[in-house]
Formats: sequence, structure tokens, C-alpha cells
Amino acid sequence: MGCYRLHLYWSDPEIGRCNLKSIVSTSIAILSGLVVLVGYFVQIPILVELRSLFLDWAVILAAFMVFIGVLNISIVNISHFTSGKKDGFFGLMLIISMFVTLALGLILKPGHPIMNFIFNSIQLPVELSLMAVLSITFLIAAIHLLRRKPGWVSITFLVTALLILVGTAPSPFGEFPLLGGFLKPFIAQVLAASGARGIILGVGLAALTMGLRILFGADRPYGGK
Amino acid sequence: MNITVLLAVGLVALTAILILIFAIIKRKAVPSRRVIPAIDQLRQALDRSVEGGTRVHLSLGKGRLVSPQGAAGLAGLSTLNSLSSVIQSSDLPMVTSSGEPSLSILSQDILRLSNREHLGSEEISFRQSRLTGLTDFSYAAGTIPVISNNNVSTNVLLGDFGIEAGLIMESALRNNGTTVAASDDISGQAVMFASTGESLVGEELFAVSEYLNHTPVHAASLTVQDILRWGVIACIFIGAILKLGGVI
Amino acid sequence: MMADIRCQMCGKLSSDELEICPFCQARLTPLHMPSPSDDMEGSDPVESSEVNISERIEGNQEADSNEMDSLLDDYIEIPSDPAELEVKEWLAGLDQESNNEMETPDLIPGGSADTFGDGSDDDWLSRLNSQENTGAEQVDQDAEKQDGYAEKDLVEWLQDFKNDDESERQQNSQPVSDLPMNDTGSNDDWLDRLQPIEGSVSRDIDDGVDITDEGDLGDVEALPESLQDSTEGSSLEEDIETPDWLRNIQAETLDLSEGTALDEAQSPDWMADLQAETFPSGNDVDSDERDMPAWLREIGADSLEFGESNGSGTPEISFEDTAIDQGAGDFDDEMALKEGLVPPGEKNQDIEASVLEANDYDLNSQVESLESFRHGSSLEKLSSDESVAPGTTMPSGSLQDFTQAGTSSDTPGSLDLDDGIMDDISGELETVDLPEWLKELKDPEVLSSDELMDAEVAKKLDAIPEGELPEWIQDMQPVESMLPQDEIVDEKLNEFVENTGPLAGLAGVLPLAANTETRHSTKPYQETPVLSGEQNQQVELFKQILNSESNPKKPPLPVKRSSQRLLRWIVTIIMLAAVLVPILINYPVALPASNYPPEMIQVRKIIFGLPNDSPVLMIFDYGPAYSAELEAAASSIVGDLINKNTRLVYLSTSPTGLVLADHLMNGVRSQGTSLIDPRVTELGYLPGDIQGMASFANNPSYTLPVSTDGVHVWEDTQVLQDVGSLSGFAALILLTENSETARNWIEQVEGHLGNTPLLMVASAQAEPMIRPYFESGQVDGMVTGLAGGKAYEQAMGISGLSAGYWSSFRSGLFVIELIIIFGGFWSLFGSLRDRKLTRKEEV
Repeated sequence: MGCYRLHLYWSDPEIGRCNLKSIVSTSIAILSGLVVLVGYFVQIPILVELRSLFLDWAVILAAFMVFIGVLNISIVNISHFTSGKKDGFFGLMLIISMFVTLALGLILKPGHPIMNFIFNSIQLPVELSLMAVLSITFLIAAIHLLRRKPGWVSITFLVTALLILVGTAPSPFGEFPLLGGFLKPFIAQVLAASGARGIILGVGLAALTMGLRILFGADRPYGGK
Repeated sequence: MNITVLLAVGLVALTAILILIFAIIKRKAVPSRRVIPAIDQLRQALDRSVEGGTRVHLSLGKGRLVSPQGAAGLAGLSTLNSLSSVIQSSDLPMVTSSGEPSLSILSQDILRLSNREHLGSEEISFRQSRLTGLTDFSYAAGTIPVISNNNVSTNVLLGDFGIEAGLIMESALRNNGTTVAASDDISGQAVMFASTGESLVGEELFAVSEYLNHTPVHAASLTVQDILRWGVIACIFIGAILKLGGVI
Repeated sequence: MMADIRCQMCGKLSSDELEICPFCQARLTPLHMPSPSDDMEGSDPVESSEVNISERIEGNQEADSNEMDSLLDDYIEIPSDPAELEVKEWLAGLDQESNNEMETPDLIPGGSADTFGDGSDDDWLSRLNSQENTGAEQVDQDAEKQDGYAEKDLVEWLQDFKNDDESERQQNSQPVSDLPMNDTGSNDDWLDRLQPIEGSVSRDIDDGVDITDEGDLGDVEALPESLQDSTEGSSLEEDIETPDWLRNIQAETLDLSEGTALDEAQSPDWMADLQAETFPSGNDVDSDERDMPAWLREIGADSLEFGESNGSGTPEISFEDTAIDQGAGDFDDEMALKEGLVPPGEKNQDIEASVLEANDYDLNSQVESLESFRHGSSLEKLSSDESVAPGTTMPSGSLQDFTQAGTSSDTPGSLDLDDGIMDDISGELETVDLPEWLKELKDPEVLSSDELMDAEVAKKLDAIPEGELPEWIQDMQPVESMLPQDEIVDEKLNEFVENTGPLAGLAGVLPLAANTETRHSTKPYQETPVLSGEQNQQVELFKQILNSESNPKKPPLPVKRSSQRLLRWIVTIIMLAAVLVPILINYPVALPASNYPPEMIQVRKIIFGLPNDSPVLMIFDYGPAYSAELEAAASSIVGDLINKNTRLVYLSTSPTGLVLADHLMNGVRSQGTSLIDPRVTELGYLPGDIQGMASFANNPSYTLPVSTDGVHVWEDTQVLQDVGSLSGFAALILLTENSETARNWIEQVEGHLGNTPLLMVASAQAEPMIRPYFESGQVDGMVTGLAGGKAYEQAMGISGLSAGYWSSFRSGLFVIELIIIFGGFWSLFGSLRDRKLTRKEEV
């Protein structure tokens, strides 16, 4: 009876296809994870080689995914342009610039002055400008922090930021030895560092359980049902 | 095999065993969790989005799967899996953005499976899952038009975010959207705290999927996390005392 | 089998052994009043009927002749004259009519006077009233005391008769024999026989003559032998005023008041039998044993019923005293006709007492009243238009029993008309002035409308269609419909004695005043219900809920910050000014020596200690956005390295790292910090992130064997021939803005560095996370941010990029601090103001 039901279950092409895919992907994920994990702890030559092999494949896949991502970007921006949406022209520009850069890089190779020029002229200033805008954004956010979230936590946040800023660089009116010599190091190196360390520890433990859930097959972010 | 490796093996094995045990014990128990206001706000925002017929945007960050920051990306994918079933009833399908190609591909797969489960078709629009940039700020810059041009009312940022998350959140605030953000990076958490009303701190990023869609294994992993955290605290105290005592 | 006698008054069958009807207390057998004019042997139909009666009696009593003889002696009265027979026939006719009325008893206690006529002639009733007032005051008082309606005993009823007869006798003093005959042709003779014989000593009944004297029964010669034996044989002439039956009745009632059985020594047998029948043991009374007139038997039957219901066994015969006094208008005709009220359980506890107290009972007066009744009254006069005053109530209980007892199979002493006793008696009573209760027995259809019904009643009857309930009943209907099906014994109602209206004296009736109010007017129902305070609150709450449903609450939307653009521009302008002005004015600012960070000093030492032409590995893992900060911090270090003719090998784990490396080198070259050309080897892009780090740390020549130029640098002696691993490098400098990247590199290369120092050039944002590694010794030196670079340059005595940025950096920081302070206070005050406004709105 169980076999018959399994047969019926699998006989449905839609169900059968999806289940087979899910089973295969889940099996590969679990097996690969176990090999890499055990290979880290147990220095068995074959496990070590398998681990290296799997890691190499992962790296290659990750690199190949970049191309897939590039294709995705291309398709989206082309659709923006062809559908006549707002800012569709910029999508076209993006596509052109991307493929031109790709072509030059393949031809001229990275490090070529032209490539450097393109990078130094377009990407670098853009990102530097974004960083500058971000500083203004943070400043505006700091101004509105007490209005958005009035409370002692916000006040403490701002006071701490001020102390760090004051301790980083001396004021035009002079230096504050207490702030620069004691308070700022204490806040940055003791309070902030310890808090950050605790957060990182929690994140690490959560990452550990997350990985184990994937190994158990309970969590399938790769789409397996 | 040195002591460090042994400790690592023991920690992993203990965690695995505890997860299995708690998953079996609490498989039928009602989960008792502390209230996280940010997740409650997320639920309300999702409900409003569905009822209002607006779009939900989920950003997965730039964490590479082959790196330790990949765990945050996987947490974001798990949350996407939970959200997709809820958002299916909305008029506008949800859209995802990421700064990592692998995350973009996996998010497409999850959306496709969700469509098949709820709508009967695997067809999704390629615009639903986007790779907006390969670098940090290019990713943030590419995410800004996704928020402003797609009638997005709810933004969920779950993954590896740095200070570039400030740009994304500023864009969300300009659109009067509700933003719930969480990152495994300290700088990103600081930026998120200052930019949003409710933000998740630390390992709360990994608890979002459990709060949205309870499963016994998820609940067990959260319990084990708490146990291990107390264990680490105890080890730190003991190690500090021993260090002060000159033992180690 | 005992024969039944039908009562002439109520028409109910009673045992022939009874002399008095148990229902209406009427005489079942006519009194034997000897009279000279009496001719019992004439071919009078009455006589023949009486003969039939006697024959019937004889025939029925063969089985128990002894007993029957004794009973007959007491009860049977054979009329000796035709007049008496005629009276019997009249009574029989009454019986027939009452039988016709049995199916539709519409008897109302007290019955409207209009039912029986216009009440114009109330002589009979007035005589009754006068007699009541004078002769039966005590009885009236007792009747009023009773619950329910007061019941008159037989004596009083008879006294009423006497009163009426007296008045009529005064008017029409004729011998009974001269009285016109009614249709039945017998009543007057019967009444005549009741009258005292002229010349004879009249004995006033009121004198208390012992009525047990059986000499008053009349001529016994006409009686059958069996019956004659029972009599004392005294003629009526000898027995003067008080008939025996009256005496017997008196004695009976006196004894009945005590609730005990009659003393057989004192009371006649018929009385005893009557008593036995009226106090039955629950069994049906054998009608054959009764020899009483039908009407008398029915009286006894009524009393039997009443006795059963009340447990006293006392025959109840009551009159509504007060109702009679009130006269016309007090009685509700509709109630009388439609409702058919019958007083429930009649209480006759005080009947005996009232009888006992009626010491002024005058037997003679009763006899005289009967005589006057015989002479002065006729059936016509006793008809509906007689002196039955409106509102006069009759013993409804007895009357109803009259109507019911006739159809009851267990009626004691019932007389079966089919026996042919009353064949010759018609039911016509038009010529006799009947009392109220008698009139009700008549078929309304037979009686004329003028005699029976008052005009008003007739109108009302016509006005009310058949089957339609009167208004007052309709008003009562909701109450009645809520009443349980089971009969509720309302003791209070039973205790209530009506004292007004036609039901005066009756117990157990609904209060007339309440009924009248209910009948005439109904309590208007309010259109708007009256709600209590709590109900009003609930109503208001419900209204609020309903109203809120139509007004959905809008979700709270975040406040659109429309002033953000202006604020941005303001802040941007301020910041630009803060940064540009120091550059423009070129105001140099020096760091104090105490502000040199120790980690920077370590870097300076290590760089100074590097030998010339040593390989140094530099890792460029930062993004383009952080290039300005890191280039400012690292340019001096790179310049010093170039000046030491070190072989710089660099790689990157990010795609843009190599380009940034080139940019840094060009910048250093452009600044003129380096005096010679750098010897740079690009290993290229290191993929795999942490895996790549680990792989490179483990075997760098295997991981990156060829440079970007295609040169196998690990085999070239000019580049990295002497470097086999990471420990072959003189120093490893990591340039990163991300603490995670730094941590990863630290963790991956820790075991592979050996004595190679690990130096870091990090962004200020990563410094808190990387410092512990420095303090733990895992990182040998660290230059963090612009401040570190400035310190390094100042310590090295050179002026590099950091020096150029320092003044702008410091002024910009100062302006930021001010903006944060003032902006924070502004936001704090604004939020407090918003809270106050919100609280005011809520209030």
C-alpha cells in the first residue's frame, strides 16, 4: 500500500518533478555541508581533499553567479527602457556602460590605463559622493533621532557619539585632555567594544544554529520544499 | 587535533543534539517568546500592505554565501520564504533586492516556488528579484529606485548591511514607508538604530523567520541559542577569573 | 334501581328519595297543602301525572320497599287536589325548560335583570329584599363575611319567597285555586296548597313551629299506602301554617350548620337521607332512593358538589344579598351572558353558622311567603319582567348546578324526565313571576325579547358578533395566554368577596373593578420604551460601535517630512563651509605629541625596522567609498616603504581592490613622498573570500601563482623567489574598512605568519573591533583613520595627505558636534511640544 501510494504520488508529473528536485537539492546540500564540516575537524586526507574540492566548486559557482547577476541587471534595465518607464534612459545608459566596460576589460585587461581611467573617473567619484551624502544623511538622522524615538536610549546614543567625536579630534578652541585621553578611549574601547563583542558572539551562535538547521534539512533557503 | 578543534567539534555536536532534542520535545508546544516590537511592527506593516494593495520590498544585503556573512543572507532568504506565503494575497507581488548574485538567484527560486504553491504557476517577473549592485554603495544606490518607483509601502532589510543601509533607509523614509531593518554588522546596526523607529539588534535577525512562521526546529534553535549564550557568558566569567588568578 | 326526579326549578335529576333538590334547594316534590278546593281525584292532568309519579315510585321501589317507604313518608307528597297537581306540572315544565337550557348554561350569578325583562316589576324581588333586610339580617352579615359570594340557605330562599308572596297576597288574595293557570296548569294549585286553610289556625312560620311535624304535608289519603304510612296522616287543616317540609328543612339546616349528621330522632328520614346524599362518601347517589322534588334534589346535588369541593359537605345555597340591594345597573350584562362566571369553590363554612344564628327564622313567615307566593305570584310574574331588579344576583352556584346537574350522570337524586313524570308539563313560565335564577333556566329563545332581555343587553348582544370576544376579554388575553395551562388556584382570589355589582357576596370572582378597568380601557403602550440607566449606556455603546464600523480607523502614517530638503541643503552648506574654509585659508593645525596613539607608534617602529629590499605584502580590501580615508592614512606608510626599496606585493579579495591599489600608488607618486619608483607586484584578485584567504595563507604560491602580468613571481628571484609562505614576507599590511574582513584575515593568517608582523590600516569605524586584536598581540600595529595618518605623518616629520585633510577634518568634526547638539535639543523640545499637543487633543 505504501509503495502504491508512493507510486501515485510520484506518478503525478508535477508533483513528481517538484519532489525529485527538492529531494536532490536537499540531499546535495546536506551532504556537502557535512563533508566540509567534518573535513575541517577531522584531518582525514580524503575528507580534506573533498572539502577543498567542494570549496573550489563553491568559489567557482559564486564567480559564475556574478555573471548571472550581471545578466539579471541587464534584463531588468532593458525592460525598464523598453517598457517606457520613468528613468528608463538611465537603464539604457547602465547597459551600455556595463557592456563597454566589460569589453574593454576583456580586451585591455584590468590595470590598463583606460580601465583605470574609467574607474577613477566614474565609479570612484560616485562612491565617494555617496559617502559624502551619507555623512549628511547621518547628520540629519541624528538631528531627528530624539523626535523619532524620544527616550533615554536615544539620548545616550547621541551623547556617546558626541564624546567620540570630541575625543577623535581636538576642537579649534583647544583640547580636552579628559575627553581625548580617558573618556573617548574608555567609551570606544571598553563600552562600545564590549557591547559589540557580545553582539558578535550572539550573531555567531545564531549563524551556527542556522547552519545546523540547513544541515538537518529543516531550513531550505535554496527553495527546496 | 588540538584543543581548539576539539572544543569546536564539541560545540557543534552539542548544538546539534540540543536542537534535535528541543525540536522533539516542543514540537507540539505553544511557543513562548519575548515580544520584539520590530517584528510586531513588521506584521502590522505587512497587513497594511496587503490590505492597501501596495508592494513589499525585501533587501537581502551583500553577504556572500561562502563567507560568514552568508548566514545573514540565509536568514534573509528564510524570512523571504515566510513572507512570500503571506504576501501572495496582495495585489502587487513583493520585490527583492540584493548585493550578492547568489542571494539574488536563491531569492528568485523561492519566489518561484511560492508562486507555484499559491498561484499554481512558477512564472515570476525578473523584476521581482534584482541584483542591484556588486559593491556596497552601488548596491545601495541601485536599491533606491526600487523603493521609490514601485509603490513600496513596506521595506524589510534583513542581511549583511554596512553603513550603506543608511541610503536605503533614507529613501524608504522619503516614501513614507515602514522600514524594519536588521544586520549582522555592527556599523549597520548603529545606522539602522538611528534611521528607523524599530530595528533589530544582533541575533534577532535570525529570529524573524521563526516569529513569522513558527516551526519546531526554528523554535528549538532559538532555545539552543539562549542556552549557548549563557554558556558563553559562563565561560567568559570563568576565563576572566582564571586569568586574573594567573591560572591561564 | 332508584327512580330519579327532575327538579322543577333547575331541571336537574335528583334521587326520588330526596325531597329537596341538592342543586337548587328547591322542593323536589310539591308540598301537600290540604285545601277544600283541592280535588285530587279529578281528571286533572296534574292529578294523572301525580298518579303516574306514585305509580312510578311504586314500581321503582319494589326492591327496597321498606326503605323506600320510609323515605317516601318523608319526601313524597302526593297532591290531593288538582291545583297541586297543576303546580307540579308547572314545576315539571320548569324542569323541561331547564333541561333545554342545560346545554347552554349561560347562567350568570345574579343574572341581569334585563335578561329576564325590563325589570319593571320588582315586587317579588323587592319583597325578597325587604324580607332579607328584616328577617335575615344576620344571614346577610354572615354572607358578607364569607369569601366568595354569600350563600343563602334554603330557609332564606324560602323566606324570600314568603316575602314576595306576602306582598302579592295582600294585593291578590285569592285562593290558589282561583289563580289563573299557567300553561303548565299546576303551579297555582301547588302554591294554594301551601296557604293556610281558612279558618284554621294559622301558624306563623316565624314562631318557630317545629316543621318536623309531618302533618303539614297535606292530605295523605291520596298518597299510596306506602307513602301514607310515612305520613302522620294529619291533614293540612290540622297542620296549620308550617308545612312539614318546611319544618324539615329548617331542622335540616339547623343541624347542617353543625356539620354533623342530622339527628335521626329529630329529623325526618328524608332529611337524613338528604343529608346523607349531600354528604356523600364520594359515590354517586342512587337516584332511585330519592323521592324529593327534582328541584330540591338538585339543590342537594349542588350542595353535594359544593360540599365535595369545599369539604364541608354542607349544601350550599346562597343568595347574593348585597347584589339584591343594589338594584339595577350594578350587574354587567355582558359578563353575565358571555363570561358565564361561576363562582369557584363556594365556601359555605359560615352557612351553618349563619343558619344557627338565624334564630329569628320564622317558619311561619316562610310558610306565609310560600302561600303568598302561591296566591300572589304566578309564573308570569315570575317571568323575566318580574321584580327581578337589575343587578340582582342569584345563587349562581346553585343555578349553575341547576343547569349542570341535570346533565350530570352522577347527580344525586336526579330525576329522569324520560320516565314520563313530567310529560304533561311544559316549559312555559310566562305567566309566573319567577325569580332570577329560575328565569335563567328558561330558554331565551322561548321567552320573548321583552321578557328576557333588556334593550341595552339586546343591543350589546347584537353589537357583539358571534365569536368575537369583548374588549375587556381581549385586553385580558395576554395575561391569560401567559397563564399556565394548569389551573392555578388563586387563593387570594378565592378569599376575595365581591361587594359591589351583581356579583356582590360571591367569593372567588374576579374583582369587578379591575375587570371593568381592563374592559373599558387598556393601558396605552408607550411607543418609546423606558430604559434604565444601564440600558441607556449599553444603547449608546452599541451606537458607537455601529458608527465606528462605518468609519474605519486609518492606519497611522508616518509624518511626511517635507522640510527635509531644506534642512539637507542647510546642513550641506554648513558642512561645505566648515570643510572648505580651512583649506582655503590653509590653517595648519598640529597634533599634540600626547595624542600619538600607541598602535601608530608600533607601526612606525616596524616600518623603520624593515630592511631594504624586503618583500612586503599589502592587502587592499576596502571599497572605493573608503579610499579617501584609507589613502590618507596609508599614503605615508606606503611612501616610507617605497623609500626603503621594498618589494611591494599586493592583492585584493575585492574586484576593485587592485584598481584602488593603483590609485594609491599614483597618489603617493604624485605627492612626492616617494623618491624612487615603487617595485610593485600585483598578484591579482583573490577569490573565495575567506576560503581564498585560508588558501592563500596556507599556500600563497599555489593560490596565486601568476601575477596580473603573467609572470610567475614566486619563481622569479627578483620578486618572490625567497618567499615561500607568508612568513617569508617582512610584513603584512592589511588595508580594510571592514572589521569583519580584518577579523577574517587575522584568523586565517595567524598560524602562518611566524615572525612576520601584521599591520593594519583601518577605517575609524572598524577601530573599536580591531583594537582588541592589537591589544591581544595578534595585530602588531594599527593606523586608524585620518587621525592615525596624521599622527604617523607628524611623527615621521613629513607632511602628507592627512596633514592636508586635518584642518578640514577637525573643523568639520566641530561643526558636526555643534549640529548634533543643537539639533538634538531642537528635536527634544519639539517632541515634548508634540506630546503636549497630543495630550491636549486627547483631553
